[in-house]
Amino acid sequence: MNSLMTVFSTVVGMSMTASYVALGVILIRLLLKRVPKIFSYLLWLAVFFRLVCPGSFTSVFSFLNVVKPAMLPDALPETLVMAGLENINYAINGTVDSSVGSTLPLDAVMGVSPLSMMMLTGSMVWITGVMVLLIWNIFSYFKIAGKIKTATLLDASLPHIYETDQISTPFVFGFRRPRIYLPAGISSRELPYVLAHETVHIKRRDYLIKPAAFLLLIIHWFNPLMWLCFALMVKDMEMSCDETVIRNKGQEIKADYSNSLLALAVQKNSFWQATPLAFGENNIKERIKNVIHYRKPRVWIGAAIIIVITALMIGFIANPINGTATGQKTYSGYAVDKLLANKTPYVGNASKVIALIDAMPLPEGVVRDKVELQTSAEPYGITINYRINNASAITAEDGIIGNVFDRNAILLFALVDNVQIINIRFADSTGQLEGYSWSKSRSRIEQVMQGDVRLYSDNIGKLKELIDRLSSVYVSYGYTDGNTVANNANKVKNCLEKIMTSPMASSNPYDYLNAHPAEVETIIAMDEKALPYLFSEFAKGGQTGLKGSLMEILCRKILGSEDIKYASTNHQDWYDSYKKHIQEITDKNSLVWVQDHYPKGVLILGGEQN
Amino acid sequence: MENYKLFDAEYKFVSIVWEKEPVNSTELARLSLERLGWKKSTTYTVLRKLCERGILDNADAVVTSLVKKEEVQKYESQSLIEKNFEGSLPQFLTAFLDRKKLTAKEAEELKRIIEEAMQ
Repeated sequence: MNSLMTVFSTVVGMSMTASYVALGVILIRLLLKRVPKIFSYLLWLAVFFRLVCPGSFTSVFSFLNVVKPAMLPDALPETLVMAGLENINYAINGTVDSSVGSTLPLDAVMGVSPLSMMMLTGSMVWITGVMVLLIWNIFSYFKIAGKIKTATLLDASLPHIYETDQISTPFVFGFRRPRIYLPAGISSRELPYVLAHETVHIKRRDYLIKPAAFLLLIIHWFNPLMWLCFALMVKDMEMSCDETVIRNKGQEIKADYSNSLLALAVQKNSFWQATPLAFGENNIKERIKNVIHYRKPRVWIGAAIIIVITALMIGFIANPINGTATGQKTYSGYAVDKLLANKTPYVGNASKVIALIDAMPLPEGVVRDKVELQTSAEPYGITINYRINNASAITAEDGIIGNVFDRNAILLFALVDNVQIINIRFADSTGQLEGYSWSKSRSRIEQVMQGDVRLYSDNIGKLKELIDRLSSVYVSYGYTDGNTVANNANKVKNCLEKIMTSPMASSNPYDYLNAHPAEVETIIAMDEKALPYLFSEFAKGGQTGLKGSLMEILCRKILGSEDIKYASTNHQDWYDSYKKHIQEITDKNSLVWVQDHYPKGVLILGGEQN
Repeated sequence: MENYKLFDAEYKFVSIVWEKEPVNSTELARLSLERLGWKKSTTYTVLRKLCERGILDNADAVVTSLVKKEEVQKYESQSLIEKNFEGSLPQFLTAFLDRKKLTAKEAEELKRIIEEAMQ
């Protein structure tokens, strides 16, 4: 399903780009009316190319420079596709595929947003159309193959020319060994011309080009312009084929050749019979006119036209130069152009949000991991997971203890209009900050910055001004209520140490707890804010003693209904089992689901929610 | 009578049989490949159909014709005149001779045929 929608969006993107090129080719064709048709035939290569290749090379010469780059998607906007993917997955399997790195709006009532429904319906309709057309054409291909099965050799010495009374127009048929099939009873006057024409088709491999073009048409069947292109391309193919015959045999055969075309112009019930996999002949009137007017161009004119056509082709096939793709400008580590280009009103625009995050500097040794977007309900949030790969990243002056993440968060608040909360989580391979996370709310940032940071996102100058201000800003880490993760951890740690001091003689953890009601009460009152520290202590492993037993009791008290049934006295094992349980339901459902149903338990996943 | 209607390809095939009969079916397949460009399977399919219609006979891999060339030609020319000249022989002859110059010998023969038909 996902891949289908991705493919569909790529196809729609290619179709849009190809439409611009097609319009260009159609216009130029009009100018080339008096020029040998081989040139317009060649021009279709540009459209062909656009329909096959999602990407291309960039060049200043690209005609598409006149079209706004925004109008030339190589695929539909990523958000749209991802919204589709996420929600469809959710609707079908009840999971959100995290591989795309975001969680997008799930329509609370339907479970699927109208946008993604549209995407799904669109790709379904498209693939159905492709299938129907394919099957219909394969069917008519075999129908013709059956008809010409009994075709007989015209002449035993010409092994590739057959005649049969089952067909009404001459055509070339076959992919590997193309053969010419003639309707029975072509008169000897027409025969040489018909054969000459069909032989040129074979020489030029038109019998392969036409089906290939038709296959592309099937893929782009929803684009009416492509049907027009196909018809015009076939016309150009036939006409340039006629011209080649005249060029080879000489001007003097024009009259006879035209007569032959006329003689063979049978009224066909062609619509149902015509198959692009065989060569029918069509639009006789225009072809005869073209034959009569055809003059073999002078060598230098021919050369000039070739040069012009080549230039046109490059113009059509090249992609416009994208301002941001080359010479990315940065300002104190921030890719300001990219930041401005990806400014977005909505958290839900995953591709833009991710582009913003990635346009900001990170301390050495830290890599961005998954990004999650909370867009289903307020507060709309962005959660960025980072992975710390070496210890120096933490202690370095511009490392994690510096305020690089705060600065980045403030910029996100400036550039993503409706984001209300930004969470940062760490997975730490060095173990020091494992599971650390902190959040910033817009109100807190506005407090610190004394105003709305969004006002800085209007232009480059303003944005640079904001970046300048940031270097002197320091926002304390912490939850939105001002309590910091570190504070909380210390609070729990102190209480726990105190509880463990007495009564030293006992081995029953409840004796310790009963001896320190105030400390126990403090921890219980902290509720889920106490859990990150407790979980992180368990995460170190080996908590099988008194501390482990106390921590287990406290954790399970706080978790309450989110706890699991567990009946053993191995405290570390309770933690491991509970973590496994949360991981399993996360895999089965989704992180979002777990956050909704296990708001406390989900904290056990700390910063390694991958 | 209708089963004398032969398609172009069938007529060519039956012509080989008329020329070579009685002919071994393997030999017939070889001749069809050589003269008509047919695969062996096509030859056997067409042969089977013509046997079913009672035009050819295939007994122990020896093929013979059950319908003679003259009969088929007679049927063909009749249905041609029926279809295109409302069954009128003079109309057909006029149209036919319009495009074709007759040799003296052919004219003589035609005259004789017409006289015989008048009696």
